[in-house]
Amino acid sequence: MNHRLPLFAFFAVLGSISASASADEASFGARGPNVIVVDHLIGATRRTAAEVDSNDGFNTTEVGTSFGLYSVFATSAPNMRLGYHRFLSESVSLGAGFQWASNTGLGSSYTILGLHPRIGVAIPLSSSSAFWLRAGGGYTHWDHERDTTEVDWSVGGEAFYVYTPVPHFGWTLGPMVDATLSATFKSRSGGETKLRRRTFGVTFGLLFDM
Amino acid sequence: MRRLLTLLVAMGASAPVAAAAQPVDGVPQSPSRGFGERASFVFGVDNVLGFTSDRIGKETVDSSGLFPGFFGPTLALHGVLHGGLTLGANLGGSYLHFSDLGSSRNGDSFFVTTLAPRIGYAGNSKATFGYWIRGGPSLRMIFPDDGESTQLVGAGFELLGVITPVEHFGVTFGPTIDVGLAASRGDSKFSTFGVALGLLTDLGGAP
Repeated sequence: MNHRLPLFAFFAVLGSISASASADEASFGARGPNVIVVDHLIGATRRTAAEVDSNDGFNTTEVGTSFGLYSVFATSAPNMRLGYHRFLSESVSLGAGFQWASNTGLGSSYTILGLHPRIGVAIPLSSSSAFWLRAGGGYTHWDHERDTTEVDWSVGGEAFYVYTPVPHFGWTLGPMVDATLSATFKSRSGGETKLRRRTFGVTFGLLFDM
Repeated sequence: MRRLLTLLVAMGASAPVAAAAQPVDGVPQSPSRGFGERASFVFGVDNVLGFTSDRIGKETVDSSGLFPGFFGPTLALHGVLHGGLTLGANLGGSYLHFSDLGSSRNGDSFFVTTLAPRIGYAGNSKATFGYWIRGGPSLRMIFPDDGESTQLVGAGFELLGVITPVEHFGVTFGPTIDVGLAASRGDSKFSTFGVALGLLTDLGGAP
């Protein structure tokens, strides 16, 4: 229960913002073509990694669940993404989410780079709320210790409810899913392991539209 | 140096944000009052993009990129009082659980959280550019499901520039430092310093 108290406090604050705010006249998608998003900032997710085929005995079959704010160390969670999307019309958006993290210390180092392009459709419900459905691919490169790497090609999507209580600011809430089409881990010995990664859950994010 | 250059390039990439703030259809979007004067409440997310060096005990971990650092990003919830005085807190928390797929073993899990009350001063040199100085204690806690919990106490200070190109949207940038003062276990005091970008929205006041 104590684990959830910060989250309850956070949503109580969001509720009070909603109560005191006044929305823009135009709906999401129509009120500004440029959208900056922080996706998967908070959430409850489950991630699995299962070995499909290996030629060097490498074994990774793990499952992780996570809850709360995610950090780069939260490898059981979907990595938070900073994204930019542009509305080509009032309802169709095109953009991408970016991942970038580099860590050195405690005897190890790694770098993650990712690009997740998305095409989206905004379905306005009112001047302050909408659905924003997005889908697309993904490329993620993991570099461990400079001599072991993993390259993931994936598909994924989000079905977000968007609430925009004031001009230029809003938040997103909804389910997300990412699944690898191809994930190859290459170890320092030259061996290769094929993996299957799946992530799904419900996440919360922020958006700023201009 | 490479990290610093990358960071500067990323900060330069925020130029399109300012460009996007140009009037649309003749409707001016820039705020008429500066940061610290126009809103009664600030909500944001700190530590979105930057560089962080964490030190716990004798170990150092350097992180750069999006959401760097062991304790990750924090949500900033601050009220703006009379004269630009701000009072609030930065909050963070994450619960993680790992186990082997298909295993009956319970696996490892832990909960990390940050509570950092802050008093600050928000001012501006013009409507679209301001600054925000904040300081206060920082409490970080690690609760493993099995084993002893760890509490880390420090004193933190942030010196942030704030660009608010349009109403209700701002970008913060600047150095942050947290000096470890005490730890519940041995000499595992936690200190961190870095430079980071954040995002904020300011609400509740006149635009």
